[in-house]
Amino acid sequence: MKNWDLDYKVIDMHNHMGLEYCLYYPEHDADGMVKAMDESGIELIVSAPCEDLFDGSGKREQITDAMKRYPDRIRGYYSVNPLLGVDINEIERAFKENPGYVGLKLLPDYHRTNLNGEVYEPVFRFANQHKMLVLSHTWGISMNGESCNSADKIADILEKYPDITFLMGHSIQGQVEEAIEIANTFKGAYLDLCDTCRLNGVVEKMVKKAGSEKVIFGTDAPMQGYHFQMGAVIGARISKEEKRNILRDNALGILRRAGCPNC
Amino acid sequence: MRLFDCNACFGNEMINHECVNHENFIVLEKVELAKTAKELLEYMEAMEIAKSLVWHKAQYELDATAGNQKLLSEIKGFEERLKPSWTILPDITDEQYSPERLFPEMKKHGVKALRAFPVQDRYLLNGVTMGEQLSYISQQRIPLFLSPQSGFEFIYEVLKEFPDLTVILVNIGWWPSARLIYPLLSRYQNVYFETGDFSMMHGYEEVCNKFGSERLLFGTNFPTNTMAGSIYALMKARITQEQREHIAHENLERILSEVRL
Repeated sequence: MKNWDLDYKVIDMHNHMGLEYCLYYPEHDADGMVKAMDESGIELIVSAPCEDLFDGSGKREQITDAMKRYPDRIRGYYSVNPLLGVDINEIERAFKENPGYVGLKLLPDYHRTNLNGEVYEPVFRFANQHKMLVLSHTWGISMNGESCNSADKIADILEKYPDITFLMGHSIQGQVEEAIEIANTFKGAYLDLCDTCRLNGVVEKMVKKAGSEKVIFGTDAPMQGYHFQMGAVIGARISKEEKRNILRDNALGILRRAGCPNC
Repeated sequence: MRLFDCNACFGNEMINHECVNHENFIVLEKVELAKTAKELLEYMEAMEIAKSLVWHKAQYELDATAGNQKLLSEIKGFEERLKPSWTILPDITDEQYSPERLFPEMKKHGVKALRAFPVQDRYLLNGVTMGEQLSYISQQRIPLFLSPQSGFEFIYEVLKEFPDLTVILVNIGWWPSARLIYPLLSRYQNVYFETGDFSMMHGYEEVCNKFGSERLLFGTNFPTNTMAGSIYALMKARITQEQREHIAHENLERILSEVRL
């Protein structure tokens, strides 16, 4: 019988919270998320709630409350919506007040703003100065058929700001070969498996061409459950050690370098 | 848990593989293929899948008729584990798909399932185009596999005209499609969906509670998706062992046993 068991807990570096984007899914608040994590063997998530990404109220209470209530289970990304303006002082204040924040989350396609456009520049300068973790949505094709976060724009940013740890959310789906090249070229660039891990042979290709140390696990939960994507890694034709790197150890290393308390 | 995959494909491709991302945009990505039936069996072996209801890439990408024949010739010798499903076309242009010609051929070759790709093959799947064929498929309880990749509207339309049709929804899309699928499960008793893209949080539990475990069929949507994802999701779903067995193989076995040819 094939062994599907893990003797360690998993860390999900690409996670959300709350109702999002007009989709239906049964459980989405912090309590529901932790229940699902317990059922699935997930120790820690790094989350960017949907209201931070799509609602202009700027309250951010969902993530700050969740991080306080579940300090060992939930960490947060501070989501930057360039359409609402960028306030670096506000970002600094939020990180000081909420030690659970470990990085920034960007969503260029959805915010219809080019990753290497002017509006993001102060964000990247700040992130580079503080050697921060940034998770950005990346696709090779954009919502309007153009491309706000394609490989060329990502490479442009990483050349200018080499001290950022940059997680390529979805690994530039549609340009996975280019994503692998970026991961090999830039020390701080990582391949995120969220959604993309389900594509047949992609996990194996990333490990072969970029090394398992450059691949991290993410799920988009609660829009998705954990099991399907965990299975895509656990069932991949790679070694046990490589699976553990992807599902846990790489994330721990990144979080510790980002100053995550108790990680 | 014995696994009978309802949706696996093999064969080489002339273009990069078309996938949909989670917003349903087509992206071209290089997924790993099983170019031959033997290669598909190697994947199944590694994942401990007992049987698969298969189709050949040529049935979609090249030509239905040529693809159907290619499928039969390539699974020769592997029929115990690889069960064929054919692509259907309107008989107004392709006469070999008329009920009196197609169904004896299906019987002769042990084909008990059909797939339709109306967008790719440039026709409308409705009574005007295929009335007699669809009536026969419905009466003989032949499962018709349909993908909503280009939208659910045509599936709603064909079921409105042929409410007893046995329809298996495959390649359902990555983000939760409950608002599109649940009404079909509620209205039509012979609608099912495959699990090859089914990753919704607590989705198995919800579908089993609302509609019964008889409505889900284990599938891998291979090679777009890895086989491992849907296997692990089914293994770990918080449902009873009886429900898991329904989904893993029993539902598909029952549907195929009810086909009258």
